[in-house]
Amino acid sequence: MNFNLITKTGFSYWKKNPSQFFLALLGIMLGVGVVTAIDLTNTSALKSFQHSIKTVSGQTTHRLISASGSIPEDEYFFLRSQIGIQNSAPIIEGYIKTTGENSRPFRVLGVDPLAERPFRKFLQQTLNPGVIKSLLTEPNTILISAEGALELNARLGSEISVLVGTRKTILKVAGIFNTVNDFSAMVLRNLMIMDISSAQDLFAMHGKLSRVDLIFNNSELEKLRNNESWTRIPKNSSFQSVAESISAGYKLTRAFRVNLMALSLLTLVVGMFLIYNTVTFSVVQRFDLLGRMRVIGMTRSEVFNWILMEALIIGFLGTLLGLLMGLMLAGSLIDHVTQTMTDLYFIQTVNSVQFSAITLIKSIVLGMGATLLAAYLPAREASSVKPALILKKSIIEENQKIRFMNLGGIGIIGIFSGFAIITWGNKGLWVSYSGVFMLIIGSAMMVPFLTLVISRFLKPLSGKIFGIFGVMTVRGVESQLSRTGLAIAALTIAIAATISLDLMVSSFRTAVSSWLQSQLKADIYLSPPILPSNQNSNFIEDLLIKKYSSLPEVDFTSYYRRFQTGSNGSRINVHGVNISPQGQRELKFKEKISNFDWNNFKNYSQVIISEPLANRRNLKSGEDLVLETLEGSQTFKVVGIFHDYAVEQGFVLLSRKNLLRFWNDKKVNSMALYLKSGTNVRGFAEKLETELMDTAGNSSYKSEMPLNVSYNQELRQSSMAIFDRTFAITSILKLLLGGVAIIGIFSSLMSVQLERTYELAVLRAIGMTPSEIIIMVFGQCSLMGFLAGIFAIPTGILLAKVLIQVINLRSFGWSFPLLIETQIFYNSLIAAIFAALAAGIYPVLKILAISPALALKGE
Amino acid sequence: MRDYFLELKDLQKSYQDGSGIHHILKGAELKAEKTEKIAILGNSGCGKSTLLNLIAGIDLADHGEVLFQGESLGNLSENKRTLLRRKQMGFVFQSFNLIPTLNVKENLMLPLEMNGIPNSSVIIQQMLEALSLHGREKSYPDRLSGGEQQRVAVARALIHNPSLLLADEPTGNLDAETSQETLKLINHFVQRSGTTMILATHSQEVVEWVDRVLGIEEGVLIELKTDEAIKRLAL
Repeated sequence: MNFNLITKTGFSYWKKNPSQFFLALLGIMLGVGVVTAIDLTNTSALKSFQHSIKTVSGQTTHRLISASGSIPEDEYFFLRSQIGIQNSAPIIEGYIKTTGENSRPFRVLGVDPLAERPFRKFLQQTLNPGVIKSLLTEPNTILISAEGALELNARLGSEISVLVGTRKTILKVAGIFNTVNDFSAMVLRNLMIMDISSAQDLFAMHGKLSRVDLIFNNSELEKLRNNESWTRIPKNSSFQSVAESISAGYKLTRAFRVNLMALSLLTLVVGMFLIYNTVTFSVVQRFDLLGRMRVIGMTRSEVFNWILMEALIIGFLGTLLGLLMGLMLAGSLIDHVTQTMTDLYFIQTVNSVQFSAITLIKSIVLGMGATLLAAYLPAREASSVKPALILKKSIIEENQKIRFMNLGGIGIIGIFSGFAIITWGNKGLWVSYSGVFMLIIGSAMMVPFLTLVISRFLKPLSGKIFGIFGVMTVRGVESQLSRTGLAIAALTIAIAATISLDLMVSSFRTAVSSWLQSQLKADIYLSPPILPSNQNSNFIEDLLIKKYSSLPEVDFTSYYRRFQTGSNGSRINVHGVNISPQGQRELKFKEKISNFDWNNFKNYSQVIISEPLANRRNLKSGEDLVLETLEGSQTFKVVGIFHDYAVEQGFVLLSRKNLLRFWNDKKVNSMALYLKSGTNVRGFAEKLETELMDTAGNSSYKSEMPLNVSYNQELRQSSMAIFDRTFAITSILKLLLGGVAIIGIFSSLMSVQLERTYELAVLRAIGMTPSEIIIMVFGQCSLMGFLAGIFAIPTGILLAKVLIQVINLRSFGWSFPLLIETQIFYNSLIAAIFAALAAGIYPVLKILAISPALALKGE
Repeated sequence: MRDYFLELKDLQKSYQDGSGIHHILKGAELKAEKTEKIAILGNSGCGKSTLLNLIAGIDLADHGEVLFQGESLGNLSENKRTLLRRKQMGFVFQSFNLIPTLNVKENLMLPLEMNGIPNSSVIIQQMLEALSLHGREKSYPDRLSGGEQQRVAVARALIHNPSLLLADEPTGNLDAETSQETLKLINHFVQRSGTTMILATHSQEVVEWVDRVLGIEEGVLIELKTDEAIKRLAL
């Protein structure tokens, strides 16, 4: 069948109902836009990370690393002389921070200038004999990139003041290297290169290396493995390819990226619902036309294809606009994401969006697929329109009521199915989200039915209170349920989505705040002034440890050591600490063995693990965990699992005694001071700060102090600030959803009221005054808004519960209870009513402007 | 057994609404030959529209059979019935039911396009001239008078040369003069094309040029003589 005239008919409808068209467009645009933005942002951040590693690694193919974090220098010599690997370069890697007002972190790479040639091409031109001589003969000389020098206002021979752990040091610029392109410039701008001996001095790693960089292919590696000297390589050392390092970094950020993607998918689901709603609305408004076309001879499948084609055109346009929106949104999100990754994981200096063809293709497929899925049911409904029904509109509405009652039943099934999928389906994100989609659709399907039921009760009540106008107000909503039901459902879902996000974030925030309260029991915390992401490799000097732990005001000191070790073929975080009595009391256990005893934990091979680790490794209390120690593999018993929201990969907590026993590691990353009762905590902290400032040479900058001094309150505040920054993106999504909710109800309600022009003209003709019309229309709008707000509450709670399980437990591995904050509901209800009232303004003005006589004639 | 062009056998149809079940047709029977013109009379609500809907395959009977050119509509799928209606039938309604978003020319083009009939522009031009609507091709239905709309509706129903025309009180919303013109038009087209016609009406004039007049009483079809029919209409 030739579709030209059908297309024209369809086009005429959308031209006459531009608000419906734009709403459908907006739905898909929003969903695709947010998904594209998040995906682009994640991909850009990962690509940046990947390129960063590759740029800094240069031609390196493999690295020799150790479970303990450092390799004895002898191993390097052994590799070269005994194993025969010529393309090898010793590396020391650490972080420093410049001092002064604009303090910045820098990565320092200690290299052997004479072995560097095959490895890092960006150094080749700079490593001339003069520069090499400076590096080798003058201590603390560095090479820096042109961009880094520009930022520090440094040139050849300049001195740069830096903090290394707790010590202030001066570095001298011996050379400036250029970068080949803008990207390399960005990546390398926070890199300093120095001679390896200087680096060993700087980071107090005498006789040790961070790693050995190597160049060989896999067949060479196999040949080398056959060398009889191979077996003499220590067991806790391993070869890791550069690709594996990149993959490790990807894994580190996986939970965060998945969380963002999951939230963006929620937006897509809401967008899909808007498409479903708008297309259904367009079908309902064209029942008459569809009936006529069916009488003339249009078949069901032709009607189905027609409606689907319209939806696909809207979907295509919406997807294109969504891609544009996504590109723009990614530009503003990348800073948030980069900042969060730096806060939580590793330094990210690159914050430009990188175009990804795969992301765009994915978004197009998602946008068109979502449209098809969303439009399928309304298209089917359109194809089922009986030709005979064009005769009586009341039959249509009557049939719609029966249909809505059936839909209500299907809706309940949908909700239960959604729950079943989420609870018992496989734990993949896509499966879980199909469950979320079913929940949303199921809830939406129940809205018209519930509206019908509530209207039946409200009618007599409002009649008693407001007389005939009260009855007409409610009756107006009920009699046009095919339209009002959809409008209320659209507003319900959009508001429910914002409620669920609000509840999820506020519950999480409360859980984190309460957890921080229980964790931060000490009065003062001391740590080197470096990023949390690099805290493992910065230590407090012994002198400072002794000095501050033996102060007369100090009652007890906890020493924290954080490092990584091997466990069943992968790396695992370990925290060694002597837990204070208060800490022991307050530790929030999820579960523990029945005969748990702190003394046994301290003295025997026992560990406590965090909930995320327990979930990732499927470990329970009483089970064993193998850790690589200096003495090889050691089995520890898991005696308890505790709640933790800091380290999403999870970590093992073991006593300081076991740390010393199995790793002989006396280093301290941070200290917690418990002051004697009656000590003025603030006064003591100020005294410490003053002393430390003096140590820094009367500097006026806190960034120059060798140690950070924090109260538990301060720490709590800064932790919550990181939390809020991390969830800033959720706030953006919430705003978008809220905006869509308002536009959605605006558009639907407008259409509903404008359709009543004839009816209201009759009322005016028989004597209803304009103010009475206004009251009735606004009464209906506020009723619809109120119903949507009420329905949104249980739906939002349901969704929040699911989001907490789907996103947090499955992505991060931690759990927290859902806390119901009634203020969120009041706000949502008020927003729904106001949105609905605002939607009534234009129709009221339009209706009052039309002459009743003309309206009655249908003009 | 002889195949009639259209045969209705013991047709029964009921509807249910808030006030209960209404038995509209209780065993309607009809045998119509090709090119026959039949008028159906009856009070409002007696089942004329229901009968025409069943014949058109728009609705299905609760009991009985509609045989169109020997084929039972009840045995056809909904798709096949629709295609049959598209190709072989034309329907004129009391309320015109033109497509409001298509102009006059496009409303006429619709059945031709749907049936893949070529050279539609020529056919449409001829039709418009016959309808005295030349020059109004680009007008939309809401710009036409009732009579003009109904002329377009009649033309749309016949433009693809269906073998059966069904008209449900086509002059119900028209004044006397316009009604006469419309009926003349229908008669003219039907005569010229040899289309079988079943027309539900209150018009006296129709009774005089159709081949048979039937009435619906108590849900069944009864044959009426011309003067008897005129008497009923006068009442």
